[in-house]
Amino acid sequence: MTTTTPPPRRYRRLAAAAVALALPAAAISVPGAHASDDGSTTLVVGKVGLNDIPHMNPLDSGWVVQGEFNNLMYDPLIRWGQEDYVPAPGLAESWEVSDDELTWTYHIDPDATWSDGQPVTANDAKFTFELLQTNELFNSRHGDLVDLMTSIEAPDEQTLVITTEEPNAILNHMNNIPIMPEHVWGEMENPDEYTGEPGQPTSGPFELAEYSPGQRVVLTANPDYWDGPVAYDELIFQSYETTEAAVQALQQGEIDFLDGLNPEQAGALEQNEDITVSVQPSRHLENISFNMGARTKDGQEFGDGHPALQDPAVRQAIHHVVDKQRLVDVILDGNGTPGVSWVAPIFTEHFWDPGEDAFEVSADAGNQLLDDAGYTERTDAGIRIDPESGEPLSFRLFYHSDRPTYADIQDFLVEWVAELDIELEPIPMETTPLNEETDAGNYDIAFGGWNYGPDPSQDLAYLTCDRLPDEPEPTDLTFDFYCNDEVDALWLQQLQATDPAERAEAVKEIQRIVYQDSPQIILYYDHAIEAYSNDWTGFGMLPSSGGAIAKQQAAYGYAQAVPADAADESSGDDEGDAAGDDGGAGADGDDAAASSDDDGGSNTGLIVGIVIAAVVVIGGVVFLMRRRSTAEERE
Amino acid sequence: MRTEPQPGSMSGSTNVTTELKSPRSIVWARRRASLADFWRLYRRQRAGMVGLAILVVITLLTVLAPWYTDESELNAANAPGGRMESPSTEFWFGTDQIGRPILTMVIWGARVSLQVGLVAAVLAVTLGTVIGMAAAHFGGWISWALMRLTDWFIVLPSLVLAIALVIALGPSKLTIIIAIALTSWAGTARLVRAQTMAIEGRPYLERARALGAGNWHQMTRHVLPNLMPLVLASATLQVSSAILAEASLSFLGLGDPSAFSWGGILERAFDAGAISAGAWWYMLPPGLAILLVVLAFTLCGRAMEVVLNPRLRGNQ
Repeated sequence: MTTTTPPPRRYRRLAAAAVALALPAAAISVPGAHASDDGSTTLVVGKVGLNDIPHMNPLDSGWVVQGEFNNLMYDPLIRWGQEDYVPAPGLAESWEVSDDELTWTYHIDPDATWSDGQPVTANDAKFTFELLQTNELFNSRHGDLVDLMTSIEAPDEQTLVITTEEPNAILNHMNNIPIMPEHVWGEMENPDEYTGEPGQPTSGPFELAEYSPGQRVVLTANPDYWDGPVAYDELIFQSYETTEAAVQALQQGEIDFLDGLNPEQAGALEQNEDITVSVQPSRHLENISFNMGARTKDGQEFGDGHPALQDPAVRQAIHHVVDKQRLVDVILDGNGTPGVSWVAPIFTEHFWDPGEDAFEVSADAGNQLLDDAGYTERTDAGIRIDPESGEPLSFRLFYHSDRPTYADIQDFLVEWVAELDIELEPIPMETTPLNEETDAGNYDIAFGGWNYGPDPSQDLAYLTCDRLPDEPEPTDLTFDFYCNDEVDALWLQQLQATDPAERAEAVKEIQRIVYQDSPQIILYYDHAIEAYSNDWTGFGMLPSSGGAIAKQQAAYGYAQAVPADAADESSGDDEGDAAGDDGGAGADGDDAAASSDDDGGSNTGLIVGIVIAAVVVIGGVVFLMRRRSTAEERE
Repeated sequence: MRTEPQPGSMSGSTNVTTELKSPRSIVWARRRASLADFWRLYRRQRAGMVGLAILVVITLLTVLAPWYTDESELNAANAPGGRMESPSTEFWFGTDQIGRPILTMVIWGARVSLQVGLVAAVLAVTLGTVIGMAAAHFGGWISWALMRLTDWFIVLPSLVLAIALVIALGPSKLTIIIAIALTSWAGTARLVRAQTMAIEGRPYLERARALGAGNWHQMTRHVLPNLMPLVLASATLQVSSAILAEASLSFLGLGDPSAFSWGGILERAFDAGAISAGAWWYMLPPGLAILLVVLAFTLCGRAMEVVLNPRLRGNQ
């Protein structure tokens, strides 16, 4: 599931400022977490970006946060397996494909029920898919799955039969699409106008209890959840305007879980012995991309991209000087892995490791490539000249003025690329105009970020020739107007490969070709940095071998959380595990103790600083007052 | 900090210039004399002198920055330090999350902040002066229309308006200057209008009119010279608020991301989690720099007001 690029962070900051101005402090304080008087337990999650979502309609969901809520409330037919993203049973306990690979049969779990007690049947799934086919709004979100279903049948309560015209691998996992209850949604006149009114029956571990737009979302656990209820009663998502504010809330114990931290915030939270910090690989990546020559399917060119960037030698030369490990070390403080291609390494089945084929970080190698390709002439300023167009190799580098990380990365790029006698001209732009320019092909090199997967068809489709526009008009459906017949053939092969191993092979081959061809340079995959209160334990990672807790394409993260005291009680007959846990906690405690001197030092420094500032301010004010008052006296 | 800037240098020209010279030289002699007079009175304002001294020092530090700091250290690729190092003998104010020295950032940030502050203030005061003078001089419906426009800008929350303007025009140094100027001229316009009306009531203007002086001549030759002291004091105070406005806008992420203005440094600190990390050295220096410059301009502006306003000056 790809995600919409979040809007510039500063709008949130503006909103924060506005809220701070408009509300008295008491009105924005957050209710306390944890156990309440009646003995029920509540997990409070701090969310930055909760105010992005326009509504809570599960079938019209374009934000990662919205996806999180869907996963907690509505089970899909097939889940992404927690081990390794291999499709695992959800509402469907099993499924199989016919020999001609065109007919899929899904067997609904007979135990699956809605939270109002009604059984989940094949008719619910049929209803949902047909709704996604016919409803225009929903179809724009889910068309790539449902439009290829030529017939959807429910011969009995437990059996769903879907046929397609061409074999398609997506039916092997259904892309995590939620199934809606026919007995409620079938009654709705306009299902696309549902915005998140509570009280709907759900098939997942939670039900919606409250949706206050921009403020909070409250989910209550379904005690009779068919797949085993969660270990607590209530899950609150509390909105925060900035991560800094949420970090303070976590430090104060107002919230129990927070994601999206930066290394400094993680470092500060690690000092707190009541908090555990989790740093794990994620599916997010940052990249720079080259204008491959904006053109239509018929080859009509448009845009103003530099012609030399269509030469693989130039792109590969630049790839040779980008020191990805250095970026990981400096920009991410080591919390990431150097980039390869579009598939993030957590998708172990599909990730392609370049091994020996990796671009060696070497300006010499880059210069050699350029010399061999004929870029030997230079301008008076020493910039190489493109022999074909006669233009110097001077490229505009667009970066997002609202993403400070990019401003730092471009410093490195300019310096590195200069070693090739190629000039980069960094140009900061707002996200919206920047996207407009890149969509229209009016750029040379541009920054970008992406959340990959887990389904390769969806994301790699951006690299196929089919995504070139029909008319010379802006499009956001292609990655840099890339078109390569070999990739097209492999993409089709993986799409139709109902055998997972065959599919993985094709997906890896695409990555190898694209890495070599370098229409984009993937800079790094950044790690998800998350932190939670030690009152809680058991948060489920995806993949379980090490992955993010929040922003999953499944419910594992929050649903597997257990209050720590409950975990202690239940671990009586599991000595080994408990001891291991304790050891971990003890080690953490030692760390905290060992570094508490530093902490004290910086606190002392902070206090000294504040005192100095206060003295200066008060001094200035007193000075002014005195002047003013003596002036009056003298009058 | 007590580097008094050459007090005697300007006061030498109070000598009597009685030999008959061209009218131009008479005018200039008179101006020199009043300037010297102004300086003599200003020098007695201790707070004003402190403010001036601070400004001179900051200006020198800013102008001479290329000779004693290495600008290339602000390039992320050349950052000399480690990640968020606390202050040490090598990095007096510590480093940021990339390893750039905060001290160098703050010194170079002065260029952006002062530039934006000064240019925006001059623009705002010029606009305010022109509108205020026009409103007072022409009267009638022009005055009414101009004053309603002024009122409108006075009651509009200027920060919100500036934010809207910057978002609409796209963030850049120029946009910020325009946004600040457009949102802060109104106060000056009111002030100038009142003063212009007072000046126009004086007899010599009536005489000028009787001798056939046109609007332009009256304005530029008689009203404006009399307004200048007030306008200058107003401009000096305006610089303070323009610098604060620039810092606010930059902190909100509306600044030029490639430049290190003081507000921009604060924004970077906030984004980088400096508050959580307790990296006070990342936030205090730019904050104190803003405080110091704003204080200095305010002190100078107030001192000028005292000098120019006999009622505040008292019976010295």
